[in-house]
Amino acid sequence: MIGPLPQAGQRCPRWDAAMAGFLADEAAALDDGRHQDWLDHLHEDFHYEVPVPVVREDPALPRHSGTAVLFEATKGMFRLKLGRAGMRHAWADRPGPRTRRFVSAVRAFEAGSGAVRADSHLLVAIDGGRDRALITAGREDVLVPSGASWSLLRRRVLLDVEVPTHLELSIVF
Amino acid sequence: MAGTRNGTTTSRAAAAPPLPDRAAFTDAAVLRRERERVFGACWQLLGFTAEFPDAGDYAVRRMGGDEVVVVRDERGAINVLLNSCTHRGTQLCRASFGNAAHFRCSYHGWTFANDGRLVGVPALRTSYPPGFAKSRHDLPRARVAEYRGFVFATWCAEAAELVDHLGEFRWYLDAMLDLPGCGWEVCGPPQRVVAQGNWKLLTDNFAGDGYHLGTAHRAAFDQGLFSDELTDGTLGRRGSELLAANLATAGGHALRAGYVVPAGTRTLPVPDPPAYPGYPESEWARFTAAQTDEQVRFNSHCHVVHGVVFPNTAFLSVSQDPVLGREGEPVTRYTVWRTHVPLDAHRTECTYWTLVPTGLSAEWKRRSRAYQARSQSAGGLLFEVDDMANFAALDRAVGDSAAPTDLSLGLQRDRPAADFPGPGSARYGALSEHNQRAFYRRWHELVEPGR
Repeated sequence: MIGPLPQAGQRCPRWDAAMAGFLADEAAALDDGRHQDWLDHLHEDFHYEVPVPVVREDPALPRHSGTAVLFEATKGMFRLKLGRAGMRHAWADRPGPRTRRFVSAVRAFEAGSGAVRADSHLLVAIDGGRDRALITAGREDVLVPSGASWSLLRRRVLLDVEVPTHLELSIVF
Repeated sequence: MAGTRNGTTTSRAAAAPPLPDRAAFTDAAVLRRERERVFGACWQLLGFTAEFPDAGDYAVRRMGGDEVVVVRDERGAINVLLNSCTHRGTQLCRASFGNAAHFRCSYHGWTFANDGRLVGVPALRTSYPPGFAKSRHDLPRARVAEYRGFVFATWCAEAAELVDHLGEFRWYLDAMLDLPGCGWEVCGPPQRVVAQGNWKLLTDNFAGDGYHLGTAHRAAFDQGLFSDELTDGTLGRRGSELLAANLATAGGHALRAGYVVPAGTRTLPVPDPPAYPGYPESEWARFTAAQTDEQVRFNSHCHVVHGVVFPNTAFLSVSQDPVLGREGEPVTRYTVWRTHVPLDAHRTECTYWTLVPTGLSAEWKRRSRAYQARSQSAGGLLFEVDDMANFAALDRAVGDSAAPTDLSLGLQRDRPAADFPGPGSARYGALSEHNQRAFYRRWHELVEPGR
């Protein structure tokens, strides 16, 4: 059972550079199509979710559902997704779209038990041939130490647009 | 076709309808006719009563070319109101969800109660002419009808009652909703996405396109997204095959139900004992007790059922393999209802609601929701994505010529299903466009009458 994402604890600026470095490497692996490299950034228990964006009247209320998701996935599902690039009948992935991810505003927080929560901003450009899009999101990640580096345990993607297009939703954020 | 049984209507249902030419999928003028003659005339699904538990709860939804506010008023009734001030037309609700007793226009302050009555006009007594009647400026209010928790509405004062619009198809709605012997929980808020492609492309696919599974979704089957039984049945492995029944009723409603049966089985077997793939086996006896014998014949051994309530509501219930979940999880069913509303001739807003039986465990419900999100939601990277890519590819290439489309699949090949346990025109055949023909026949009657 997947619980709520750990709250951001105390701000830890000393980890900002390490988190930014990890997120840059991870984004580049996706953009470059180095799928196994990207999967190696994920913890075996990785859980990914894109909650449903909701525009409510009161700006103080959350802009994303706490219960409903547009998409969620495990590491196993991403293995399947990225494995599609090698399958003749995976029409949506052959040819695959070009993507370019821009990661910024990386901020590290304590998340308990040695974990770090890293919040960041993401801009993704996607070019699917005749269709292209630019989409922005906030991300809330939880990373845990793994050997000399880190491993991505949780990712929550907070889309800025309320009703995305199917092309935008085909992105791994 | 109304009031007829299987076999007696097959000649009409099986015949090829006048085909829409390609412009029907791209032409803004066709969409204008559709907004008037289809969306302006038919009942449309706007949501579920469970989304609006308290007075004042509202959601903004699309209905044809209009934006409407679906809101429960102070007396408990659900209203569907045009989201546009009757003074100058300003959009009233800018949020998608909320709770409000009144809607106050942000431009000049006209204020409407949540049943649509105009109740406040600034400077009414001092500056409007004597005799100005607020009651003549209430918000346009659509006809609303609820059916088993589904909220439908229409602008058309002359439209037949909702139960008549649903007609014989009610039998199948009831059979699907009665299956678990309890109510259904609506998992909200709904997912929404904008797809590239005309609304009819997405909708006729749900009506009964079994033909695309082996090509469009080959990767999903090869990756094992569906239970072994369904995969084997669909791909014809291991001596089993999919016995698919295509069912259409008057009014353009249709469904396709898939039963995995031993190869060579020609008609729907009598279930002994009944089985409900994707639901906990411990519940099966209770499910059976909650249904009529005919409903059991329809639901038992059914691995997948999908269809369309004309014009733009689609549904799917399918057993999903635990390859999407974690080791040790059982095959799990999910049920999703959707609407496809045209933004223009090339773009369609899709809204998805996942429904789970109230009587099942919290863990089962969690799994059912998760499997829907992982494969068939707006963001489903392993299944839905191939459909969306096809609709976009079709939209890019179909052009606006009079080049033909073809919907003859299954003609003179599919078989009458006179034993099928419900009303309407039913045909056996995994590969048949019987249902798409019914959908476009109804569409043609409304959009191109007399042609």
